[in-house]
Amino acid sequence: MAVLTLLLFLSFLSIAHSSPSPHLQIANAERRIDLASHIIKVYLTLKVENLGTSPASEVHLAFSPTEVEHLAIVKAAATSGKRKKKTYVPLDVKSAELPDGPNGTKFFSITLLTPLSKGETTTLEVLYILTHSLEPFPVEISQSESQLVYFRDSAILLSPYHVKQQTTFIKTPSTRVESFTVVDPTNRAGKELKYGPYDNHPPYSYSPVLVHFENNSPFAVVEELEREIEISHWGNLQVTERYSLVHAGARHKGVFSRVDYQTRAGGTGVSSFKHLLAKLPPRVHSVYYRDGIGNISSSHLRTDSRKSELEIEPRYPLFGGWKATFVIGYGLPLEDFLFESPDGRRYLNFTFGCPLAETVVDKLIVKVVLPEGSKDPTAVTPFEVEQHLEIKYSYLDVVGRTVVVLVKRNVVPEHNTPFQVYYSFNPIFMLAEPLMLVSTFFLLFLASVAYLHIDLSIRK
Amino acid sequence: MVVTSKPSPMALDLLHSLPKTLKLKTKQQELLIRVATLSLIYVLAFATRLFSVLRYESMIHEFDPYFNYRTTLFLTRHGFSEFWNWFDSESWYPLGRIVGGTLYPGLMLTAAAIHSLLRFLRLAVHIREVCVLTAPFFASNTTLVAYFFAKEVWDSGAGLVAAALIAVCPGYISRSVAGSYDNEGVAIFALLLTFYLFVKAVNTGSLAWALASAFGYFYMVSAWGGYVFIINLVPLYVLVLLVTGRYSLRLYVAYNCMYVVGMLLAMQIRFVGFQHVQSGEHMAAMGVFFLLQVFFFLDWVRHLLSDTKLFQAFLRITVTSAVAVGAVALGVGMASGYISPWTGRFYSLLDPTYAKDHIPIIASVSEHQPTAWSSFMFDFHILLFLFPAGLYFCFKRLSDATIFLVLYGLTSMYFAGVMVRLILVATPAVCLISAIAVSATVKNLTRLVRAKSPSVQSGSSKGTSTAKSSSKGVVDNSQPFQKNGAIVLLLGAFYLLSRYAIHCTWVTSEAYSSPSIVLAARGAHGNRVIFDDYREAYFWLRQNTPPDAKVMSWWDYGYQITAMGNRTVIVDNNTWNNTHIATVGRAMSSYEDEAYEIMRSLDVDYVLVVFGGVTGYSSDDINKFLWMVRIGGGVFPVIKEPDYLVNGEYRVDKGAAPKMLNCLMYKLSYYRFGELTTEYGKPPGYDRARGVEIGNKDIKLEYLEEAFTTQNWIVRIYKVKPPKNRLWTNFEYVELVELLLLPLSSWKVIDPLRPEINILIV
Amino acid sequence: MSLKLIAVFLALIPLLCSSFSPETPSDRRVLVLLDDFAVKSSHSLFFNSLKSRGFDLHFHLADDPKIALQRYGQYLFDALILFSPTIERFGGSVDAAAILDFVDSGHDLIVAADSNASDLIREIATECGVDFDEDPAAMVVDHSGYAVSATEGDHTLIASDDFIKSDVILGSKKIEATFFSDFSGYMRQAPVLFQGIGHSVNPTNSLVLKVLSASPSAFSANPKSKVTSPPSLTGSSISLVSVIQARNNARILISGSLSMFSNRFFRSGVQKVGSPTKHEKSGNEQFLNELSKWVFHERGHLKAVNVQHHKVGEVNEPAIYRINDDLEYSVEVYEWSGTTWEPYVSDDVQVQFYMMSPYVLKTLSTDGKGRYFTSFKVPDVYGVFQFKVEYEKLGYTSISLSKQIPVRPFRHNEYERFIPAAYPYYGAAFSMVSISPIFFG
Repeated sequence: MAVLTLLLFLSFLSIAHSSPSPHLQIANAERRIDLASHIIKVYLTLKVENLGTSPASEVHLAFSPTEVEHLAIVKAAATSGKRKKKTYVPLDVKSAELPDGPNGTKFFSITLLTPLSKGETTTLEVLYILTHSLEPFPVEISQSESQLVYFRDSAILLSPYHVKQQTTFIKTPSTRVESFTVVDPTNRAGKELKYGPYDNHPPYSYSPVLVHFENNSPFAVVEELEREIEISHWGNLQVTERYSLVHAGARHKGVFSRVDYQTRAGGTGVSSFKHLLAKLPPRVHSVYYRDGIGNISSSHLRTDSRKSELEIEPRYPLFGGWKATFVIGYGLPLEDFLFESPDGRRYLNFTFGCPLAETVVDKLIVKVVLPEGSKDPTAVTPFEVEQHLEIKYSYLDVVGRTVVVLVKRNVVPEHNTPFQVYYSFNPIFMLAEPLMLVSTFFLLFLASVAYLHIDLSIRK
Repeated sequence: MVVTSKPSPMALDLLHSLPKTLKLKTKQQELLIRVATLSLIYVLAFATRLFSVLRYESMIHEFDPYFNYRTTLFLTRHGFSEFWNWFDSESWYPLGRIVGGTLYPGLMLTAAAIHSLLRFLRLAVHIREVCVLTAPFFASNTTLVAYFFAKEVWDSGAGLVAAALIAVCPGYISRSVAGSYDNEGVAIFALLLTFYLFVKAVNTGSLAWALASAFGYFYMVSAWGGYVFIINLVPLYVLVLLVTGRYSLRLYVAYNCMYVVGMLLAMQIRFVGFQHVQSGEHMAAMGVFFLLQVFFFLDWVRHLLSDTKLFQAFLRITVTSAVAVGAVALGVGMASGYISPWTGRFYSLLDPTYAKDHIPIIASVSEHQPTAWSSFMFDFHILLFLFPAGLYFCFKRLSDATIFLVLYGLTSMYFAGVMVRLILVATPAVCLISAIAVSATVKNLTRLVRAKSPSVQSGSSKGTSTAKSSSKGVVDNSQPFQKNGAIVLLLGAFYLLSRYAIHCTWVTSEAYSSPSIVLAARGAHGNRVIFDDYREAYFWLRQNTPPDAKVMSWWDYGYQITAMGNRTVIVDNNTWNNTHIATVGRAMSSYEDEAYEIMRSLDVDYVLVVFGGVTGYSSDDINKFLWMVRIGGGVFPVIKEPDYLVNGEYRVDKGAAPKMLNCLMYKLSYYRFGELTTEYGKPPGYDRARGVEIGNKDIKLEYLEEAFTTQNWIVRIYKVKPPKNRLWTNFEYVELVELLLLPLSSWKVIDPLRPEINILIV
Repeated sequence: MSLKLIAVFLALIPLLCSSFSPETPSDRRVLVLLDDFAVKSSHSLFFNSLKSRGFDLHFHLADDPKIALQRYGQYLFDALILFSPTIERFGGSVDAAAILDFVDSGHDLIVAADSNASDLIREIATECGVDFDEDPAAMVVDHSGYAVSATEGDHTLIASDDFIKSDVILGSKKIEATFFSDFSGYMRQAPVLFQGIGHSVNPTNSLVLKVLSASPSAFSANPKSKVTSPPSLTGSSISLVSVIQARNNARILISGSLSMFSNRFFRSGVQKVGSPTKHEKSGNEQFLNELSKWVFHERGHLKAVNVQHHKVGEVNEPAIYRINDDLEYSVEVYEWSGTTWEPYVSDDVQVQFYMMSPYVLKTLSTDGKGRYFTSFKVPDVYGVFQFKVEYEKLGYTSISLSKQIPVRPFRHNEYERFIPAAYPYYGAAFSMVSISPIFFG
């Protein structure tokens, strides 16, 4: 990590004065970095103005390699209007390449609604989310200690453009900040750390800063989550979610004392957690919560008309580095999620992402199990995912069911957006399995009747 | 439940309710009733065993079932060949265990077969569900066998009653509720089936039935060590027949075929091997086999020699010589060590006090205590009184079959008296004999009642079906009150039966349905509190310890730790190696530093103790501790029981013995317990399981550290620290290793099933 | 630029803190705690030799409130030199426990006590396994082994040459030797000057080594007062300088004399009383430098890597062995030369095939390039075995490898198909089969 930062910084020195893209410049940049949890939200407000002659239709954002590999999502919106009636228009963001970028730097380009012609300025609101970017230090803590973490970033916005003025606010969860890099002007007030304002920085200028602060929010990371959504046209949607959860914070060191944990609650194990909240769709029924060795008898379900909240409690409190695997399953009324598209095909409309609040999912696998006999499935997702097909055999299956598998890495709650799976299905297939059962029983009775008669005839 | 659980009267009502318009021949009606009743009983037997699933969840119960479940899982995953050759390095560290060769595979194979069948039928059930429901399923089948058996011995009426009785008899339910996935579940079925088929073979004298019984025996051998009961009871039965002059060719055919084929088949079970020809417990069968040959030979000779005097002489000579030869052969076999003598376990079966003095590890299991009358009452209820009556009826109508039943009943009753868990073996016999009593009485009474009332002409199923067979019980209608008396008696009988049904249901739901993994208690406000600490701890082990960690605990928890925690254990419930267990017992009962040496030499990483002081859970390690001391002391004389007692009294409070207060088990159980207030108004460190304030409150651990303690403190796990970095503490490994090497040098798997069964295996 | 530099420094902290990496075991950053800075100059020769060997020394007063051994669980130093015999309590976060933790996490320590050494120093020494003489005023006195010096009658200045016989610890080069021709015509080593308190070593404690012992005529008592009661420590049981190698191979040097490190002793000549020769230079410098090389892992540090075992004729490691398999075992052992890893060559490295007791114990043969190998047959016992290499040689770091491997019995189809002893039975069976048709047919 440290070495990397060092190299970066050197490399930036080397290219500090390479040719900046001429015609755009950022009049004012304001960054608000929220370090409240282990999911880092960065709100970036850019005031872009076009100095060049040709209209610019794209604005580029630059990210350092370390940021890129932890970057979960980037959103951008154009704002118009004043304080009161501010309106946000989402813009689409895609990764891009710039020729003159320093080595390792990755770019995202924001496509403006209307190209920015000469002299114009526009204001962009950008939100990007970083995961796994808080490095616990010390790496091992005992039960009584609280968790300290490093956060590394640059005091100066890394940007392909000349930045006239910029400020960065870093918000820490508590007032306890062990140390932070001073890049004048820097001042700290309570939970807020302010870098800047800085004036006139050339493109790609960078100054590493490091903040060492207390963060006891649960570092709940789901290493792998497999969501299996099984469609039954008899009116039920069965969801099964297999979690492998880990506390990704500072590793637990030494003893775990139940006395301390029980009697001085809050005093010890502050960085550990024992509850998790799962937000499930409304009208959820037959919820279960179990693991490899049986039911876990500690969970509460609260349902109302709009949403259901399932509070689950792993078998034991999770301390740094401890793991827990479990399964949550529930049924949903089909009509809420399955619709018929105008072209006669059916489509499932369900939320992507992990129902657990404030968790990062390293690898999310969504499996949509279509009923037997459904054909040519297609998935529509708001962001690109790897996808392929599988076959699954369930109760009384003959040919097996088609399974649409969607895989995405580094998923955060912001990914909880609906996705659709289209497929065509012939209702006749619904009757196949009941008919099988009926015929079986019919044969059974025939057999017994026959047996009876044979039996009597023998006794004569 | 109550109504359906005594279907034979119910069948009557059903019959009455039949509209007259429905034209059915009597036989048809009777068949219909019988089939209907049987199927009802079949369903009932299954249903009544599902209480545990309703009360808790679909899970495996207790201790040994977890091993069976684990092996079944392995079987379904890796196939039969792998299973057959499975060397399990996770148990009995560092000795390991040849699982394939040291278990009775019948249960696992059965479950795996059912599972694969369901899979084939495209029923995507998990193997766990199959395992959970195996026992109830076979219990249902047992009812059928009971029906046919009683029908063979007495009549179909008795059959129905027997089926009904055995379906709900607590003695059987106790080991066959859903989730108790243990050998007995299928074994009782196999046992009864073998007996039935053998009796059938004796009655018919047909080779086919004898073969069938041989295969039944094979299944029994593959399923449970209890097969030794069969291989000793059957010869006994034959002997009795011979002595009572009931020798016949039917018997000859049945026994020879059953014994020879059965023996050959049984030898195919790796774990049984050559015991049939080598171990002393199987010799009776062989002796009887030869005796039969002698009888046959004599018959033939008598048939040849007309002169009786000559024959008498010949008889004398042959018999004496035969006996002499047999005795010599036995003596030579014993002397040469080819025939192994009876083991202590066998003695402990003949002499109930033997185990206490000589084999503490057997005595330490609660199921091995001699049975108290209360538990007889609990498990048999009215059958206890019907049993003698049944015997009376059997003697009244003596036949080969009834003789067998009587023998079975008497012997098994004796064993049931010796050991609690053998009530299981007695249950079928008791049910059958009581059934005979019930049906015979009821039949006679109904005949009395029906004597002047043709309205119920079509009568009870039994009445008609067995009118021919039962020509006894002549009724004279001279006495006027007889009929009323009969009615009263009938009502009384039905009342008793219904009481029985209620009792059974109650016992099942209250006593026999708890999976001892999850503990349920009544909360302060009468609400149900669940203690899930065992699984909490095991899952913690599974998730948060290195995969090759070794866990030391008392052997009760070994199977659960390997199955649920998926970690290597030092000892487990398969208690074939007394020395190894004694080593653990010694570690638990020595001071911390001595224990540390032992644990180091066994590469122990974690120590797990069970502690009920917070919840008042009484069957925890402190209460088992004396057995650890005894078993440890049995092998290592350094451990002396008196050191842990205060003038013969076992206590943990201030008055406890100093060694007790500082031994490892005490320290691990009560570590930092002194800081905790368990009950309002009591001083901190008040042990709710023992009801005292503990004697040693500031416990310092030097070589171990607390790694995990469950929510209710029931399971506590400690980590063994690495040796001190700077200061040298020198271990006397040598002496220790020698002791540990005992099992290796003198290492012969006597029997890897649990001791209670061993007693039957011997 | 400056702000960038700050950032870089902060970013580098974890890097600096990564102490004692197994790759380069010899220490780099050494904290020296002194009673007063005078020592820094009076003992400069010793310090300079360390500096010259590439250590960066951080000098602090022992009661400096700012000193700390670790920050956020990361140690800031690789080694600690305590030249503060009289300190009663350290400044900052340092105390005896902290120093012992420092050692227990694999760092090295040099403790120099002196007469009237403080309880703190004594406590640390005791925790390390050596006990200084309780009597605070006691010093080691030797009326027949003292060094002839200016101040006559001072018999506390001892010239001792009773070294431990180990080239690994003291270096192969004999401490500066001068030929000298008395009746015994052999090389004599220049004695080492020592003035301070002696300590005793628990004989059962095999981790402690007496590097420099007193002569049989020495004893430990207060030189000022008359000896009334028999002294607690006498003769060659007195250890003047000891080294401890902890189980985690942290190394500790404990000396009863601070002055033996001083320039004065380094420079001064030495003549042992009764011996005609006068060495113009005492052995201290070389003795202590060599010793410090050992303590700071410049010598005698071994590492074992790349343990491999497989069946004969195969290459990759099996998950389980079968009884009576033939297997090959190999391990590579290297020694740290101070700059690089050199192959370690010895003929006494042994491997055990161990299950509660060694079933196989074989001496490994080496190819001289650091690779040790052997091959043997798995015993006819199944169970969970371990390959164990327990190598503990005087002066070297102890190697303790153990690798677990289960051994299974034969599979049902691995026994021989036909047993010679059973041929009669086969014959009987087949003949029966063959002739039965004649009877039944």
